Amino acid sequence: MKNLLLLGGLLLSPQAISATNIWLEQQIGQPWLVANKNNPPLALQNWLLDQESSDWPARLNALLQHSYCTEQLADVGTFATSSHFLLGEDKVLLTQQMQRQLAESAPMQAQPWLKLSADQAQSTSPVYLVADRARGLIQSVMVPPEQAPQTLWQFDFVPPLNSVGFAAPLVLSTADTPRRQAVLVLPARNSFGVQMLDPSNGRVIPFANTSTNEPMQASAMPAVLDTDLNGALDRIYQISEDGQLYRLQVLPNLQVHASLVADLRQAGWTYNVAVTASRARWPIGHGWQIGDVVVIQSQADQRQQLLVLKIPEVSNTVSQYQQLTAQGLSSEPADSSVGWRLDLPGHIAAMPSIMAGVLYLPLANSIQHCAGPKKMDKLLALHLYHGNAVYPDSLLRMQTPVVAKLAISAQNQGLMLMAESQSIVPQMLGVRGDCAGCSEVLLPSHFPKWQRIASYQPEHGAY
Amino acid sequence: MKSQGFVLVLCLCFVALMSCMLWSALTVSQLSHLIAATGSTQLQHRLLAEQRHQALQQISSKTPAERQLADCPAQYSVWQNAPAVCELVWLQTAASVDQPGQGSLLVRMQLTGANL
Repeated sequence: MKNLLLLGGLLLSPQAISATNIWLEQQIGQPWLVANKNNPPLALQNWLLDQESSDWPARLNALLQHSYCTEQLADVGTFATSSHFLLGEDKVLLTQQMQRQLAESAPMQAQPWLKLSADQAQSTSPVYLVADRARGLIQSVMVPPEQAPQTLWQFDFVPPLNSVGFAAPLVLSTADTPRRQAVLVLPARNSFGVQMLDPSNGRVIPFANTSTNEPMQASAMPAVLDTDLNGALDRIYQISEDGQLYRLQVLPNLQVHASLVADLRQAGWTYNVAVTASRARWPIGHGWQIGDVVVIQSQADQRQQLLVLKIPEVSNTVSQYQQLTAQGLSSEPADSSVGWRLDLPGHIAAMPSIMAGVLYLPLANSIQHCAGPKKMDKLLALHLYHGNAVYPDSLLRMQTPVVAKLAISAQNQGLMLMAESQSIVPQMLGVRGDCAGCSEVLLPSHFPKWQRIASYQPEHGAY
Repeated sequence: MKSQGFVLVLCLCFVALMSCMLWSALTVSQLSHLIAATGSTQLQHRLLAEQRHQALQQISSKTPAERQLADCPAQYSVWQNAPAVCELVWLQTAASVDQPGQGSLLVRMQLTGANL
């Protein structure tokens, strides 16, 4: 009874009701979360003693030089504390001391963060990459336990980063020793439009050859593929700002074979949003065509456009913009062998996701300038190969804006697409290859899904 | 007396010859039967191995993967930037001691975070 009264008193006290904002930082993906906790974390209490504790969230916000759009609850109960930061499994809380040190070493316009693994960083202490998109600066920061963070290296590059975040470091297989190493693939203004960075030391890994073409004006984050399933990157798609899409085949000796696969140049349109690509196969005649599907976004003034290209494995032709079928939100399935394009009814809030052959693109009614997770007002869902609506409506509208981070939840009768605990699609559909634009219900029993790569009869003994 | 002995030897030789012919005919027929059955037996073994392989594949969602792939292999229903994880799995099934069984290199695609 006494405990109940005490609990009731705590719940009713003004201090308990007014929750304090705590800024948290994710390691991968969208950088910032905000948690509501009644008491500030232990690691910040020393700082709070000599500050005006009532406005410390505002002061921290001012120090970070960010404005935030969203609030999302997170639990810091399981965090390991140190004098500089709280470290969770996938979140880091930076104290004011650490923020100040980072702010002094480099003004923190930086976001987002990416934590490197021990192999990638070649360090026993946690190492984070910080990208300052506006200034074109990448920093590597080591955070040793109980010590102040140290900047390991920083790298300046010319084109501004337009991507939402880093792609995780990829494995590069080379003929030299070490044969495999992690690399960051970034846009560049060189002959191939890409550069590879060693995340352990910030040095550029040079290609063995250079293109005879003029330096490519590229600022989009390139798309990287592993075509032979050996776990290492071997193909890169990069688009120039004016719309020339190149396929770069990277050999183990770091020779690069560049080929122009699409010429999408149109007056006024700029291609500076990240390219995404995926291995795919689609029906052609009585067989299947294996190749890559490349998703590109272009911008002109306040307009944005989505382009989906089907690029066969072996192709000597250069696809043209005019060959893409112009789709609308309620169009019939496009039958173009090259691909399709669509004028977007909103601003891109996050990079597209492709699930079971359905392209999902989060859109917002207005451009979001603030840092933190971007919110979407609507979700575009289209057939990847034909650009038609898979669901009754191709534009799925949210009741309230939600963070543009999609998740799948298994239900009894199918798979549900969710965002921020809100059901977006109650029953997910996937594409079917036996007819153009067709779809089928995705069931949990379909997974795990198996695909046979090779079959053989093991032989033993002497023959 | 000599002629009777000669006939006896001839009879013995004939019996021996007939025995050899009968034995060889039986052996050849057995061999041909074995040879004839070899194809179907091999097919049966292979089907059996295939069945066991399929069964192993069904229950092997927790079989350790050879490695996790950066990309899923080419398929029509593409998954990308999504909670799909593709892993390379090497499965080997032995039908019997003297039969080689079946081996496969498979890609297992699972959805993470969906509690499937």
